Amino acid sequence: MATIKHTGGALFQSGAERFLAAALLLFAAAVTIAPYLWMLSASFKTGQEMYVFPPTWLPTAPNLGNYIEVLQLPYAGQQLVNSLIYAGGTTLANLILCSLAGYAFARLEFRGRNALFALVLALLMVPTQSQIIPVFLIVKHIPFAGGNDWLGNGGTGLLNTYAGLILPNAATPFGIFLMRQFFIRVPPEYEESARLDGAGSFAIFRKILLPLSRPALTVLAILSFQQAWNDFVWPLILTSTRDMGTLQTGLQLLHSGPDTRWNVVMAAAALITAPMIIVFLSAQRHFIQNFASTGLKG
Amino acid sequence: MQRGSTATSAYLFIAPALFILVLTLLLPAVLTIGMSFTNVTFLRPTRLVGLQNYITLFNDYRFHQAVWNTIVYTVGVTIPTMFLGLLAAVAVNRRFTGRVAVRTIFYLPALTSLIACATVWLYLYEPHAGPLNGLLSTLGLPRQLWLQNPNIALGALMVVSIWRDFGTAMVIYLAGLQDIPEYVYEAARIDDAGSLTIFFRITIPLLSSVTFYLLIILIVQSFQVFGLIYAMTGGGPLNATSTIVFQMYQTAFGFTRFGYASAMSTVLFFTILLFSLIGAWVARKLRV
Amino acid sequence: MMLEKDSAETLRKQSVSHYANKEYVMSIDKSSPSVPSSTRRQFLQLSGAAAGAVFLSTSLGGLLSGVAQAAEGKLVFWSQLAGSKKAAGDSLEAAFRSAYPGITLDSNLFGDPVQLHQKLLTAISSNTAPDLFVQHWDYSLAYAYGDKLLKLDGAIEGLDLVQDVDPTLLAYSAIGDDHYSVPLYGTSRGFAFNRDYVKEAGLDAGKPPRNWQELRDWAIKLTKRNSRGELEVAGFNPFNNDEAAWSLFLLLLQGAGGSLLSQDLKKPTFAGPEGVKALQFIYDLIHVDRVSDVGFGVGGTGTNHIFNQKRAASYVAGNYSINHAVNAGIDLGISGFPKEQDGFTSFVDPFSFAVPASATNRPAALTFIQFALSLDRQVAFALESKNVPALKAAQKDPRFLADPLLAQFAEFSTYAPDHPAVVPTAAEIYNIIAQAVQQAVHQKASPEQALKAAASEVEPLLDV
Repeated sequence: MATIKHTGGALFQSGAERFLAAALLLFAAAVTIAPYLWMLSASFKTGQEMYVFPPTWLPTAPNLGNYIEVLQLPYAGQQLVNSLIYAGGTTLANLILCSLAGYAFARLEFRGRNALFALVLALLMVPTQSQIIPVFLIVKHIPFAGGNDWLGNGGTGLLNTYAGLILPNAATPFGIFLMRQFFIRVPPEYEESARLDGAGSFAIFRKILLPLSRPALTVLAILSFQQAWNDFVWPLILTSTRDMGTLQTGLQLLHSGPDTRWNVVMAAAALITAPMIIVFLSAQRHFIQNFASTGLKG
Repeated sequence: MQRGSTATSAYLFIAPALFILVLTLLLPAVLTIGMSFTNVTFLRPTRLVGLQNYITLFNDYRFHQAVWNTIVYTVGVTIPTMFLGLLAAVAVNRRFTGRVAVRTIFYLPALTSLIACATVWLYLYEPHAGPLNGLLSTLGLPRQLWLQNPNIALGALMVVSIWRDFGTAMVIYLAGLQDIPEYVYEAARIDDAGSLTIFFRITIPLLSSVTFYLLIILIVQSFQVFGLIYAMTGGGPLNATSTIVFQMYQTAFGFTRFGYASAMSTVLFFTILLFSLIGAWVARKLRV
Repeated sequence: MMLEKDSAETLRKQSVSHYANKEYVMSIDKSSPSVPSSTRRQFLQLSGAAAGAVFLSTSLGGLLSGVAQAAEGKLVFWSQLAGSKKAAGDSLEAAFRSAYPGITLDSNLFGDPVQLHQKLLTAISSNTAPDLFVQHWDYSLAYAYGDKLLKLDGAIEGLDLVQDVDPTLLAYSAIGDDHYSVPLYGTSRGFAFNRDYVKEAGLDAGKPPRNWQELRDWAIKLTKRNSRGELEVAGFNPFNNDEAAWSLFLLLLQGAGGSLLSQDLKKPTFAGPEGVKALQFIYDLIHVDRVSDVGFGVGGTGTNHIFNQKRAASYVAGNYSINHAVNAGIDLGISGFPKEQDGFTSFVDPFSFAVPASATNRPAALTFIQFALSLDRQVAFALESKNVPALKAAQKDPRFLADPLLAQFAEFSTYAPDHPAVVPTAAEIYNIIAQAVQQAVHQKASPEQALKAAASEVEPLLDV
């Protein structure tokens, strides 16, 4: 029994249980990946084969034509760069801003803490879809940006800029809430001793809490990156020049009403997913047992 | 002095994030509430209409249906997503060959572009030659019009949603599992506790702050479901899958009635708030 | 690397326009509706020669006409010319660039009218609107009702809107006698069928249905069910989405002699006896004649449309449906959509140019419209995008008529009513009607009940 180390959730102990668990896991993985494989399969099909019904599971004449077509679309390279900047910038901003705010809400005492945290939670519940136009107008009227005067008039503000893309997502209630929920789990003894040694709040945050919160930061990074990477509406609204489009706005042009050629769309979707899989693969290795922790609060 | 400086640094830490939230969420939210008392279209002169939008809303049977659909969807999606996410997290937290692959596969649906997911599921649900009905036929069960039957379309969409999001729940739980120290389990085993006992008595309680986070997030996200509906059913058949945000989007950008859409948005906000409070209360009662 | 690709793209476009006359010849050669690879090859061959010419003309032009260029300035142009319209849009823009080197065309493309609407709404409300756009008519009409568009009567040199433009298409641009947009192209509706299935069923593909009874007979004979009664091929596919649902209803309504709205556009008239008859016909097709099942084929578009998958023998098609059907290897037959008694009916959906009132470069915008509405451009655009041209002369042009399927759709557009329901709330009205159609089909309400309820919902939307 004790031979299984790091069982985490501590389920699946006996041999029979483990076998059952493995079988279940395999089944779940198969069910989960099937639609993805289907997408890949369609992306290698010819236009002709797409009309065949019932569809073939494997392409009869696999070819790279759809991929070549997608890669040769004008602005594809620029869109990739824009998407990387948008998603990368958003992720970085969230990691910094949300962890700082989450730390303050979780570990620091200050007047108005509960009220401010309640505000963050309330903002979490604001339906963002109805706010596109107000946010657009605000971003356009940022003072001193894009030729604006101090009142925010006269120019184009942050329209068509990376800053404008990133700004509304640079800190999210989701991120702050996430970091707060993880920071409150860290046992207080850690910072108490550091505080006695005269360490300031920021030093404690940087030297003690951040290293302990790697898994949480990883989650925040993955979710922020993914949100921005898959975001379509905000880039659509904010940017009006072709060289500022993202991969998602490019993808939209491919499935336009009754004209849609799904094999090409699938190839584009598969390509767009690839960088995120890389991000996930490189991030998930941080999900390992945190040996430093010696106890925690529930 | 210590306290004072702590408070100062706390404000400093919060300020940048709060600034962004106020600018891009609070301010627009206040504007939206203001707009809900007008007939704003952004094209024609705007007029104050008082409570007219809300009165119309309370008599709008389509909106009632959307509210009901959204509630059903939220309850039906939140709980299974959390449960499967936890199960998957516990499973892939163990060391075994292919762990990284399984983790990635479970998270793949969340990574895949929504349009691709929608297209694939449209085919899986295809009533006449789709694999799902093929399976039912093989088992001698009657075929179903998964997305075309108003009585089951919403359920079919919920399955897609759970499939897509349980990986996200898994990742969040996985992070939470990392700082449960091994000795807690060792101690429990010495006390000869069974694995289920350990799971329910130790793992779940120690994850409570993560569970609470997930619960709130999933409630909020499910209430705001839009993309999946837009891509798969367009709210049909017969509004059976129309949700609040879907109607809001259609009203705003399809029909250019932003005043009315803002009223929907405001009602949605309070509905989410209400359900989050209920969720928090239930979670506390159940001590999860 | 991106730069290289862009300049290559530009060169290709410019080469197209430099050899614009050749392109028409090629267009006529295109008997097959798919974009022929031969055209592409010719572009490539030409581009070598063109590259030099373009380089010379642009660099010389820049030197010599610096003043003129500054006067003509930048033209910001947004459109929804994506998908199958993309190539045609690209050609049009390339031709314009070479014809007017003094105008810097800055164009942007959006996937569909709703996305473009989001862009235009935000842009109009923040004074960042483009100088020119092409949009589905109902959105443009809404902008016009908000006084956000330039009146275009008499504004375009050499173009008399009422004289030169197809009246059924132009009708959708009008508020009273004034026109606030100019159609670039339109779509029309007809009855499409799979000739192979028609022959198999022993029907005469040369004599497609001319009235509802014949439509019904065809649909019944074309339906295929397996031994268990499961539908394999729908004889007639009523609709695959909301848009198709109201389209079919509208055609049947017109066919029964009814109309959506009263002549003054103030009252809904679709719930009258003609409307009930139309909806009852849809109901009977599904529930009595069983030519399709409820929900059959719903949701599939593009390559996934059931007609393209050969799972429906006939349906209501638009000219935009041609490409897919032909690519899918279907021997496509088309005909006018039959009225209840003898004759055909149709409706059109124009996509139109409009100039925002706040446009900074009106002259360039109007120049572009003038250019796009010229005979040669109209023919080229229609052929390449498989649409009905807006210019009357282009519809009669032999180069256009050489595309037999397309020519038929142009003919169908003449079956469209003279007084269509041109109201800015059209999208919402269509949505309500689509719901009513489905309520009846799903047996949640009788056709009469469903339409009555819809009419009472539509009424307040006509108060504009």
